[in-house]
Amino acid sequence: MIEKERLNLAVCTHLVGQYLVAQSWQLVAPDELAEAIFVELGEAVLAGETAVHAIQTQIWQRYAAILHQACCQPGTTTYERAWQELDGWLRRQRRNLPWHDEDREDVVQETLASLQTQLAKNAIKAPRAFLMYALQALRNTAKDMERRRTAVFRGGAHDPLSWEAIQEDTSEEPVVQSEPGDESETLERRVENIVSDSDTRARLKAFFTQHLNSDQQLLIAELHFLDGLDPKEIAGLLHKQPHEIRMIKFRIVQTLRGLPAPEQQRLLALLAQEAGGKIDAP
Amino acid sequence: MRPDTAPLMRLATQLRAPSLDLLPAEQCQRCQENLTVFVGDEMARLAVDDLYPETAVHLDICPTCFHEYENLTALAWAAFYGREDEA
Repeated sequence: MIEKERLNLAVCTHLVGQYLVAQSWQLVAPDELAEAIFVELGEAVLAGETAVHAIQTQIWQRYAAILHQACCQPGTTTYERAWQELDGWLRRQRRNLPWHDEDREDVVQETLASLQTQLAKNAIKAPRAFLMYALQALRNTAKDMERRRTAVFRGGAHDPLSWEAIQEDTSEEPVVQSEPGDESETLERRVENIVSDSDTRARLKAFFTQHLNSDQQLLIAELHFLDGLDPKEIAGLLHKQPHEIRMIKFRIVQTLRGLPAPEQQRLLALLAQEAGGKIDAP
Repeated sequence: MRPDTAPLMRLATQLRAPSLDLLPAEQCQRCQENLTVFVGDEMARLAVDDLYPETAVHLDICPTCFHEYENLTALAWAAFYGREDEA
């Protein structure tokens, strides 16, 4: 519908309304949420799928914060409604988890109980991620039940994904960017800056060509390691999602880490040369 | 001009990191505690590699944590965008 159109408030409101209905979310009026999103995205030139994705992401992150706030305020009119919505939403996610049919009710109830217990103790640090926390808690509960069902325990070790663990204050604080404009450093300028014709760069490229498993991996390795683009920027260039690039990057790093020691040493020596002394030679 | 060496420096760190069975458990715990924010912000196309460098570096070298990342990403794509195949 919005293909080849600039983002406008009417389109934004329409998309927000559709999304809220599809998710059965009623804690905020569509036009109110749409206006806030439009203010946030209004200056960006967005169209087509990119616009839809950006708006949808804004919706669920903003709604997560609204839901989180409502779930933390017992005695208010929205409190019961918020927990009901969360209950219904978690139930709809069950189709995406491989659990036994007979466990479904228990999984949702146990997840809700753990969320309530946690929120009664303290709010989460990033309310925009509340629905992600809920998803992770749901998945962990399902996994725990599956473990109990099959009686396969891993030595009683602490589950690093438990809700309790999530709330411990050991998570990585985001690195504060010096200026908002830093992130918008243009791709063009970065690519321009990093085109290097040094011998070392050529040798690194040859090394990747020799050891990586596909043209796709080679392309990502060049864009990331030689051109300095991060997964988000590469995704933009290749019209992919950042996580798709991260998955390929993971396989690249695994391949390089799996090389015989002499080859790894050779790579480290090349990296040290290319980094101009910022990396210690092996 | 010289290239941005951050990815190369990270790669050097990753090559020198211990094998999976020797990775400190605290690293995995911190990574998995941070995954919800990391995945959500990545979906919002924020620069998560710069915002959460420790998580980003660890994910590349730890198959266990990466498996969690993949699963949470798939679950979130299905939940928020209704597109399971994307992840």
